[in-house]
Amino acid sequence: MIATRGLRFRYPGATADTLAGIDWQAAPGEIVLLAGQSGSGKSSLLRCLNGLIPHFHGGHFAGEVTIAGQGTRQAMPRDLARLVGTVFQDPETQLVTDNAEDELAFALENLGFDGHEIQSRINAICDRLGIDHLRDRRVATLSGGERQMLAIAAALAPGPRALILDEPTSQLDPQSTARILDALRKLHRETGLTTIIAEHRIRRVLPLADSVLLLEGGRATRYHPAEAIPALHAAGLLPDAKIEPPPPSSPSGSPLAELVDLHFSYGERRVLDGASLRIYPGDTLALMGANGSGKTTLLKHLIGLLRPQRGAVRVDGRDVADMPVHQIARHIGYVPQQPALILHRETVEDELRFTLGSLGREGDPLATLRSLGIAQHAGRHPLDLSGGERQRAAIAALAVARPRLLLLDEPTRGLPWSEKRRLALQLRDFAAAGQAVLVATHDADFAAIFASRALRLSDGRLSEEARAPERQESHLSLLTPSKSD
Amino acid sequence: MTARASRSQAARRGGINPAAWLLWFVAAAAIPTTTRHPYYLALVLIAVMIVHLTVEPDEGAGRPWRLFAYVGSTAAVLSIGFNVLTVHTGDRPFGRLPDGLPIIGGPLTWNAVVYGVCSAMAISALLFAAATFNGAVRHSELIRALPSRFQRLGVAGAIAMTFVPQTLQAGRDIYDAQRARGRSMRTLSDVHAFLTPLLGSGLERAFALSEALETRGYGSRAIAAEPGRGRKRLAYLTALAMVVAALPLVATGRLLPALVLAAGAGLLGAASGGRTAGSRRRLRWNRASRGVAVASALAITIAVWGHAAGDTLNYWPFPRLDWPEFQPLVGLAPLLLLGPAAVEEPGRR
Repeated sequence: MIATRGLRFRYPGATADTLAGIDWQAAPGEIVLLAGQSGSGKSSLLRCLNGLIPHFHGGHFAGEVTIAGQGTRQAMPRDLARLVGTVFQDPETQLVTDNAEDELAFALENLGFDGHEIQSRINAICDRLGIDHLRDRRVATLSGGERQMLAIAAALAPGPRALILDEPTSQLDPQSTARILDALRKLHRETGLTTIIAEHRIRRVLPLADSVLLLEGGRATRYHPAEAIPALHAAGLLPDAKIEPPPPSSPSGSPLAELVDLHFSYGERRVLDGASLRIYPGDTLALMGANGSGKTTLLKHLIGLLRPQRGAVRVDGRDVADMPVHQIARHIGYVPQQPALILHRETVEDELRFTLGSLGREGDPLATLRSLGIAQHAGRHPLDLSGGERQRAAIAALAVARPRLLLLDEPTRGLPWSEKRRLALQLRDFAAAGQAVLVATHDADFAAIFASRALRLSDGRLSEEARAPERQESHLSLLTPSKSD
Repeated sequence: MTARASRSQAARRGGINPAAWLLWFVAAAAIPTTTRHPYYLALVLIAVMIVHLTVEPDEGAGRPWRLFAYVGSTAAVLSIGFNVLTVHTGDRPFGRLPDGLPIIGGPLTWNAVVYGVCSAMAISALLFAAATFNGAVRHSELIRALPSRFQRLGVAGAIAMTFVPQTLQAGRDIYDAQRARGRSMRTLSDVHAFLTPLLGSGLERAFALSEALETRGYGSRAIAAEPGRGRKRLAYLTALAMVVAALPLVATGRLLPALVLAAGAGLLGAASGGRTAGSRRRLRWNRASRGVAVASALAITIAVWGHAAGDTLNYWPFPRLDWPEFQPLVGLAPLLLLGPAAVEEPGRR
């Protein structure tokens, strides 16, 4: 169904090949898990399969890619859309229209299907994926999981022979992830669709896969799923049991920060309904909960970007209701979900100096960069860094002022396990030096090695979990579906 | 079409269709964009506000636009003061600032106040009309109302429209993120800290979206059918006749009606040469849509007539401030804008 022969690709201006000679085939009906570190070429390979490379990206392309016998050199991506459906990582940016049913019709209309056929295909795909209830909804009102399901349905509507998915669950909570993967499993069972999935949440996808294609250094190695596990461990892509989880914290003294009976609603939607929390020096806290449960809202209350409608936020025992944000920022650092939102200087080191200047603090930018393992990038532009490096640059930009409490919103999105592990250990070092770190995350594997206390936000209330579960699965358990990620 | 598809569209069936809304928007914009006559502007503003408050935006989609309208209108009202402080001409002074003060020094006049108020009303009416239109209409349905020749252009326009609320949201997130870093919008460096990520995230979004468009067949060689040759010729002849009719209007200085004729000719000509792609949903011209469309077309006609017939719509408070004339027939045009409020289903509020 899919074949690459001698595939090489180098981006314009790059000095090395991203893909350095890939010979690979996927049989009809096969599900392939595409694994590799950030920057290993997973997305590039997928873009070769749908024709975006070379037609959209340019660069140096050599070798051959065929989909159901059709060479991608000869056909433009828009014409390959009948053969290959593509689902991207970000549910926000890949939906084109403002209404779900129109989204499903979009590709069909572009490809010239007649009105009756379009309606019939929309009905069929809604039935198959169980999304009939979404079809008249505005896209803006859909959750992240619903949007991603809609994107999958829209990609499948023209009846492609293959479906490629580029980290489709990286921004979703475990429940939405499970729904997406269940839908893919059902789809495959019913249609035998050839499916290629690039994912960092390997434990979740491995049970679905017929084969694993591991990309390292621009080259690909194909494995049977059972044989792939040692290689995935060796590549730092699977959680390992080598890291001791941090000991449970024993709160003592007065808290650094405190939420007291916090209530907050967006219009009629109640998000926080009596949430209370005390944060002590040395705490490493994982704040968990479904998409939309209010994790970001809670973090924004701590930094003063949102003010409680009822209840109080205290920092060092002082109610911060009337304290401006820039004063709270002297005690608390906040790294938003998208690090690019705060990065704007010419170099990474400049970013750190900018924070110090803003807060009127002294600090050592290079020491902070060293502690986060990115000192070698001090002179680079922040937006030229990879996802994981950019995340660490954003953390460094806040951590350099040594805030007593560091808040991070979903810092592990789209990161491979090795990057998550490195980040967890670095944040534990901060806490060991007397700071506290609160991380909002969906990632139980990350929480297991990072958190001394795990909190769950549900129905607007916070509850403390006994401990984040440890991840020491056997090889066998990795090949059966898990619900706990 | 299946029963289920009919059901899914039934929710929208009772409403006003996008073409009627578009006509309403053009009618609402006709007076604010062409005159500063306070009576008609006040009537248009009142009518637009009534419709805005009556028609509930579809599933909250109009919220960012509503915010945009409120912020813009507040700025427009504040600009009245700016106008008074910077425009010092007119025959009705009510005070004076020392001449030595740069820019603001000199007489303060009622003429400037009246002009500022008229401008604020015009801007507010336009903003609230845009907010109402965008909240009520799904862009994808609007694209379907376009001749097929314009559909790709329409998709591009609809995407641009979705970029507005996305950019507003990104702007808010960046502003929050920089505040949490100890910055506020006070210096040039703060503006840089805001604009650079805004531009960067906008480019990234645009790039991702263009990839998605490519892989969803946008621009594909779709099955197409040419319109009949006879129809095509008739459309071209009609367009030519409209252009010829516009020429004497230009010669006599009646630019607005000439412009309307020329634009109509252009649209007709372009549409008649277009390809016809498969379309699964036609516009439904129910009674509400027909009523709003007819009322809006009448309002546009009256506004065009008002300009063509003489000085009925003209007003300028400089150098002499006089009470403007009021022509009841032209005053009817703003009242016709109330159509959506009159026909909107009670359940939609």
